[in-house]
Parts: sequence; structure tokens; C-alpha cells
Amino acid sequence: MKPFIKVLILVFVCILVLLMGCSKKDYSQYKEPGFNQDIIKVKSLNVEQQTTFTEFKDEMEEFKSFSDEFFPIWSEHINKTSSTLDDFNSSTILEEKFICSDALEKRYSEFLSQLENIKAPAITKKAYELALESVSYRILFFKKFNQNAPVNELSKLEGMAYIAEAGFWDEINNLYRYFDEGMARLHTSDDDKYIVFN
Amino acid sequence: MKILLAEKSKNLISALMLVITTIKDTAVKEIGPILHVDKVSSLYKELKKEKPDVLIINGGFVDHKTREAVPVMQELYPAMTILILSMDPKLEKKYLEIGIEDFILKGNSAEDFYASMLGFLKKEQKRSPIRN
Repeated sequence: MKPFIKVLILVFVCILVLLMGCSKKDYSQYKEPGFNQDIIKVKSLNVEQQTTFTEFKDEMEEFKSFSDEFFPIWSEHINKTSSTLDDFNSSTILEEKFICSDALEKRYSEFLSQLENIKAPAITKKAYELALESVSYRILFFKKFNQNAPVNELSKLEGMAYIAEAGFWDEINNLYRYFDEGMARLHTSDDDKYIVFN
Repeated sequence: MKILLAEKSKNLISALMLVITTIKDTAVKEIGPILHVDKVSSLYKELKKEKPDVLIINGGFVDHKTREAVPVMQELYPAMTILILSMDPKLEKKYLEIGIEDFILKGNSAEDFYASMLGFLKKEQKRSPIRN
């Protein structure tokens, strides 16, 4: 073989080797077995579900903390006012009713102040506002009673207080239903979450 | 105008009785007897016996099947207006689909509830002479 042809073949081989070295490599063959996009999607979904679960757990804790503060105040108020309320309802002497009504207006006002100091979480906002509304109507009722307001006006205020209070209990029932359903969903959908929850 | 209230909560029955009585005394004189039931079995008996002009019924009264029961009641008593009370705002659309236009959302402020009830009863007052 002539030296020129030898050099030509050598140059050709060098170019070929260089070209192979610069070509884009396909790394697909280096993928970890089983590591693919679907797994990434599943992992992301789990993170989202975990967030929902965390939010639900937070809501439950917030509701419990609210209830632990709210209901003892309510219970204490009932204990303080029930006998005066009985006297107000049973008395047939207007002067006695005025005395009771005045005392009740003050007690309901104190009760309202105590309730207003509670920081209600978002989940209980509706129930909390209805409770405040109900108490406000009761205060107004006793105030108007002391001012000798007409019966119609008093009946309306009493009705409004009852409507707001009934709405409050409906909303509390709704919240309990919401938590029951959420718990049931967690129990059936993912045992791990049930374990975390307990 | 005879009204029948169908509500399981005794508290809400008392509240509704007070509110409707106040409206009767102040704004809608045509309101007549206000009756109430707290059991499903009593509801059908009262409907048959009293034939009220207006039925005010809680959305959850017939064991969560009120929406299925309402068209039957409407067919049996076509002259009777049905007002639904519910905590769930999404149900309003569902009742509209079956021809029930009167819906009051419970759980809003008592002021809103009273205004809605007053509006409804005033509307019924206008309808009552045609019916009678």
C-alpha cells in the first residue's frame, strides 16, 4: 500500500472516531429500573393528598380548640343566668320583670364580650357569627323590654334570637358531619393516614 | 292562608312560629292558622287533613329524600306552595330543576332569614285571593 493511501485511511479512521465521540448520547439505557415519569406523578399526587390530610387534621384541631374555649363559657353563662331567666319568665309583676331584665341584659352583655374575645378559626366562622348574632338579639330584647317596647317588636327580637341560635346548632351539626365524613374517607382510602391520625 | 311547618328541630319550630306570628301581626294579615309537624308520618296526615296553602319544609325533613318527596306532594296538592328551608346553597338549583322556586337558606344571619321569610309571605299574600 502506498504511504499516501495509508495516511488517508488513518485520517478517515481518526475523523470517524472523533465523530462518534461528539455525537449525542442516549442516556435512556442508564435509567434506573422502574424509575419513570409515572412514579414521579404518583409521588406528586401523594404530596397533594398529604397536604389535604394535613389541612383536615389542622381543621379538626382548630375546631377542638375552639370548642374547648367556647362551650365552657356558654355553659358557665347558662349556670349564671338560668335562675334569673326563670324569675323573668314566671314573674307576673312588671317591676320584678324589669329588675330581672336589667340583670339579664348585663349578663348577656358580659357573655357577648367573653365570646368576642375568642379567636374563631375559619372553619367555625359561620357558627361563631350566628352565636354572636343570637346573643346580640337577646341583649337587644332585654334592653327593649326595659324600654317598654311594643309586644310585636319584642316577639320579633325573640324570634330572631331563636333563628340565629337554631342556625348555630345546624352549623355545628354540619361541622360534625363534615368531620365524620372526612374521617370515614380517610379510613377507607389510606390505612397509613389512619395510623398517622391516631 | 293556612301554613304548615315541617321541621324536626323543636328549637327551629319555636323560632319559626315566633317569626311568622310577628309577620302576621305586623305585615301579612292574611296569615291564618300556623300548624306544625316534626315527624314524616304526621306530615302526610296533616297535608291530607288540613290541606294547607303553604308548606314550609326543611330540606332534610324526609330523611334526606325531601327532594324526591316534594314532587309527589306537589302533584297531590297542586294549589299548595312549597317553601324549602336548607343549610345547603347548592340545593336551590336542584329544587329549581323540579319546579320549586321558593327557597330560603338557613345559616345566614337571622336578619337575612327574616327578610326572606317576609318577602315570601308577602308574595303569597298577593297570590292568596286568586287561590281562594
